[in-house]
Amino acid sequence: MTLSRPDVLIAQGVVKSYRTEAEIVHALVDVDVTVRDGEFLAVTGPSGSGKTTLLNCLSGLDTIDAGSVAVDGVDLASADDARRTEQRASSMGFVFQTANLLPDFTALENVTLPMVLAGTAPKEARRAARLAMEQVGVDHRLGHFPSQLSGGEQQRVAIARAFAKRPRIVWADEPTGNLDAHTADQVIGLLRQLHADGTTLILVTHDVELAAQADRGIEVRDGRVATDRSSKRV
Amino acid sequence: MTLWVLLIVSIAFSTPLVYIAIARPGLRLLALRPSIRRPGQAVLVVSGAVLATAIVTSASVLGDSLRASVRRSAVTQLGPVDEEILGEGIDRGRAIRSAVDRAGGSSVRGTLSLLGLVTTVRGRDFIARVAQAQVLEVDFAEGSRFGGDPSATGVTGSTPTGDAAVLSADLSDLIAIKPRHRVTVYAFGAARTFRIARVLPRLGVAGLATPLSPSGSESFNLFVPPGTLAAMLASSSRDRAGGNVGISTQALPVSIVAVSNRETELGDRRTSAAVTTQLRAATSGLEVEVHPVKQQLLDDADQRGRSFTELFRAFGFFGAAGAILLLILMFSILARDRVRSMGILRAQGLSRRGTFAALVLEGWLYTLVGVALGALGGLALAAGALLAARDAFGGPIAGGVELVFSARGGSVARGCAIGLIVSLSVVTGTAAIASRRNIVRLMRRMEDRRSIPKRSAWIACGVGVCPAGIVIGATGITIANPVAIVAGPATAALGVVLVLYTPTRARWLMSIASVAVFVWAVLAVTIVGTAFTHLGTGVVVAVGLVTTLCGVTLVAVNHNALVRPVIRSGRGGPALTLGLAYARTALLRTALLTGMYATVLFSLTLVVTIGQLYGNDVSDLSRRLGGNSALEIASNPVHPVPPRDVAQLDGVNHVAATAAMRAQMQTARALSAGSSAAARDVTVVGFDDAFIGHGSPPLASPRLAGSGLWGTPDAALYRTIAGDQTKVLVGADLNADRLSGFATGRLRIGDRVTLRNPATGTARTLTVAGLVAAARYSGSDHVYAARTVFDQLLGTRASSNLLFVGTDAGVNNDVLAAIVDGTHLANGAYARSFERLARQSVSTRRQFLDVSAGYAAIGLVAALVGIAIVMIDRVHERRRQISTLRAFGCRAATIGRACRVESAVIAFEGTLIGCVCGLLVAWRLSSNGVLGQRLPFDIPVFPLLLVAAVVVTMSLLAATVPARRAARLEPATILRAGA
Repeated sequence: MTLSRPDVLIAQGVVKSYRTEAEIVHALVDVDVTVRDGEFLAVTGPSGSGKTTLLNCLSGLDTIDAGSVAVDGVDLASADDARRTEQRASSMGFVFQTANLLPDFTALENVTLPMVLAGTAPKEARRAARLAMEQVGVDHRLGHFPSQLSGGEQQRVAIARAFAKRPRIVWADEPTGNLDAHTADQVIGLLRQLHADGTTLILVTHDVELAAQADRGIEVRDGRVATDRSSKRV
Repeated sequence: MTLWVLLIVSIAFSTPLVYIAIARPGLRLLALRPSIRRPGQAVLVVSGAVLATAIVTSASVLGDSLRASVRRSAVTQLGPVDEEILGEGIDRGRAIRSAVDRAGGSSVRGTLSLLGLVTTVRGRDFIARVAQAQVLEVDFAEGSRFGGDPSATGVTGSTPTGDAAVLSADLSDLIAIKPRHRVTVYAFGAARTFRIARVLPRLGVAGLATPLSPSGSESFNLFVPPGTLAAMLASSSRDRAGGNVGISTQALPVSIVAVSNRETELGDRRTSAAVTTQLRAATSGLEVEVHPVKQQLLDDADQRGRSFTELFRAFGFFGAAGAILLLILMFSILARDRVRSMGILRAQGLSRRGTFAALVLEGWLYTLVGVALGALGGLALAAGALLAARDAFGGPIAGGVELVFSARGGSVARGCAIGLIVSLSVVTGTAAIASRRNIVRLMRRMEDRRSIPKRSAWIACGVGVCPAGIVIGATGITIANPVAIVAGPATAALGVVLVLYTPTRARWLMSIASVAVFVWAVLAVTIVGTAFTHLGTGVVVAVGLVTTLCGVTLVAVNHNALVRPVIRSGRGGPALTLGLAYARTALLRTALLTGMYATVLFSLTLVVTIGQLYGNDVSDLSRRLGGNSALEIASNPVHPVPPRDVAQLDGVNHVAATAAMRAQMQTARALSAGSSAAARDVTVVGFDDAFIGHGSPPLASPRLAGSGLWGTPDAALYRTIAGDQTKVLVGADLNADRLSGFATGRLRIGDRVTLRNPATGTARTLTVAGLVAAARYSGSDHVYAARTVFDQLLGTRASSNLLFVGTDAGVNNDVLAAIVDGTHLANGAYARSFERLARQSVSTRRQFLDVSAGYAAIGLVAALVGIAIVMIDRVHERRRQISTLRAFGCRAATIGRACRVESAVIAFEGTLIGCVCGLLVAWRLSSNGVLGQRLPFDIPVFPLLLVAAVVVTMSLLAATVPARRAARLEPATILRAGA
């Protein structure tokens, strides 16, 4: 059933380099990745291997030097910043290691705001946000500011923010990196639960156990995809 | 027109933001919420807009107030008198009035006949005081009815009779005479003493201005019983019946017919012009002169108001520049913080345009609040400045103007619009830069990698900029525009830097370019002297900005090299090492802060130094005014002081006799833009060879192109003019404002001027053959012509009523003047030393410069606020570094001290740059005569050291809060939480 789904992301020959004062760092070298709609992909690798760079390049947060990246049929490699931004707004959600909540906005506003900015009517956005926050179990903290929330609660709000607008793909970059084991389990449970609704989930982590929970895993080493395998679950 | 343009631009700027605020709820929330959650940050950004708007608004309101005050003073003083018709002789009034009545103009409300004579009077209280006054005869009953409003005429009580006289308030103050004291009038070789019955205010008929009063507007009037002047003249004529010399028109009383206009729908100006034309037609053939006195006084008042406004605007500019830099600093810090927190929204789809719009919307809201508060602050600032300037304007040289607060809606609107446009430009520019930040690095709270444009882009840009600069500079030299002369080469140098720029040669390239442009900006005043003729706003602003910019660039690019040896040696302890190292971080922001200090200190140094140079100039100015003579003795032309009497006095080594009279000068070019286009009152000095070298004032520029007089020494040129009936010498400071030094369009050699005898209408057109270095004193501009020209103007052979007296070294010239006054009162003697005249002039100039210095110092507030904020921000940014240092064992006190050192270093660098630039510019301006004359340069060491010490100390105090915050950071918390 899963195998018959269309590809939501196709990246081919992706190259990304950084120029520092001393040298040129080849962060990604000829990377090919394809992700199917509704897939749960884990990207693993040691520190500095290029996995976060891969996420940034594939999601359109960063530009690439060569190759192609197509998300939902849109070529991000040739798209300008405005087009990439539009693509992120319409079909992507993000969860990062730190929650990155806006400190001056309440939890509900933090979830609502990206939708409103993307053009959703404020009332509709609030309804979707409440629903998402209910799903992640922070609906009792709607009016609280980030500084009034625990680390786990902040990350739940961040997850609600990523999923509230029902994106095609959610990118999660070390979402449990700052959390204790118990909270981390809860967060992963939440991500899995939301993925079960049909959202494609791409998780960047160095935690092998966490990666093992994905449908498929790729390992990045020295900017290259070293292995690409289906997990035991599949 | 300008106001409308400003308002349209403001509305154009604001309209899209209003739309966003209404139609984009998400962006509205993004813009509004931080201001509510972080009021401190909001207040700081608002403060920049407040200061900028306040300074701009206050300059305009100050202009309004000065103009209104001078106008009010003029209107009050003249009251119902709109025009004056002057005719030489005692019995002319009746004929003139008949002619006016016959013409029967509907715009004329009424006429009043007076008889006047300017002569010497002596007050006899405990100490006898002598003054030149206007002795007037008028019927008080008729005078109080004149114009229909008795309270506006200033005339009260009955007409003086017998030995009673009535005094004007100005003359009462001048010679310290009160009711019941005695005053003696010396005229036509006779003397008559009166007992003062009462004192009248400077108002209406009672406030008629005395010709040749220091400011041209004082009323040194003495009202004597009608018939007095005729009797004194008759007695003099009897004495001279044996008659060797008749009484020339140089000395005759003047019949004055004052005319009051009705209010018409044409408005005052056009009514006055129409009535003047009617009066001239009605009195043609009577040999009289018609003057629209009120309109001339009002025009002159407007001109003076504009000059003062320009003075305050020039020095206020640097305060406003400081406020704008503060705004840039504040909003760039705010935008950085906002964009960081917006990083995740950018990831989730907030476009760059959306980020930009949210930032601009937030800035716009702050700007609106800032502009509103700034307008109020500007009004308060103007009121404060008026309070400070009260004494300077109230002095006799300034005309005793009582300052009143006046703010036109247009001025406040202009200030608000400028504040809004400038602030929004800053906000928009900063937001555009901030919104371009890299999303990934934003979320990781990392600085963006420094992106260096391709070298080809630098070169292309430089190739465009460099020729543009050369063209601007060359054009500036061609058309003698000082701003272009300074800005052009600076632009060209920027182009060269862009063409040759590489990171490795950046330091040397920018250093060389900065030094080259700096040297040019300072020396251009000398090299292209013809363009720098007076101290205008353009000169001050252009030279000030370019020199301080060069100074700041030079120090910024060399800061590392300068402090590296100290840091390496570790001398001074860890606090000094850390502080010096920290002071070189965030190069652009540090340079902005240094620039704030430098611009403010530049203006302060310039004002303080010029003030000192003027102060030192008393003896030089007295030499420039009087040449080799030390005293000027004016006397009654009918019975002048005999030169031989003066020559016999102890200490007198020479006496040069000249003739002087009041005349009106017209020139098409210099006065075309001025208000007093009709005429300017001047004193014509008719001289012969005896005057040369014995009273002839030194020339500023002794040449007349194409006339064979090029390079002619002073004496030779005076000799040439003494024998030439077509040439005249005028003051180089002729059209400069007498107090501010700001010129309104000077005469040049080769210009043609017309001198007119106001009593007879006789006129002569002459060519300006040279410029006298200083020819303005005693409230009048002096022009020097051949004695024969003088006689032609007068219509008869003139008597020598103005003596220039040379004295031996060590003689007290003020005492000698008092002796001459005392011994020759019967001759109407009025003697003054040139040193005294110079002291009066210098003291008033210094008062105005002191007020300007206070105005310029407002910019210091911006600098101090700026350094406090930047230091707080830096402590916040460095909290991890500081915590690490603390974890490694660095003491809290060391951290606090390092913070203070950093602040002091920035303040010191800015202060040093500002002081050096200000001193160098003042040096060149003074050496090239741009300040009105060449002044010997002198550094005001103590005042500048005091200013520098105060600035650095205040900066240290401003760093107290951030230093404490830095010292109190808890390393464990910061290192664990990271925030």
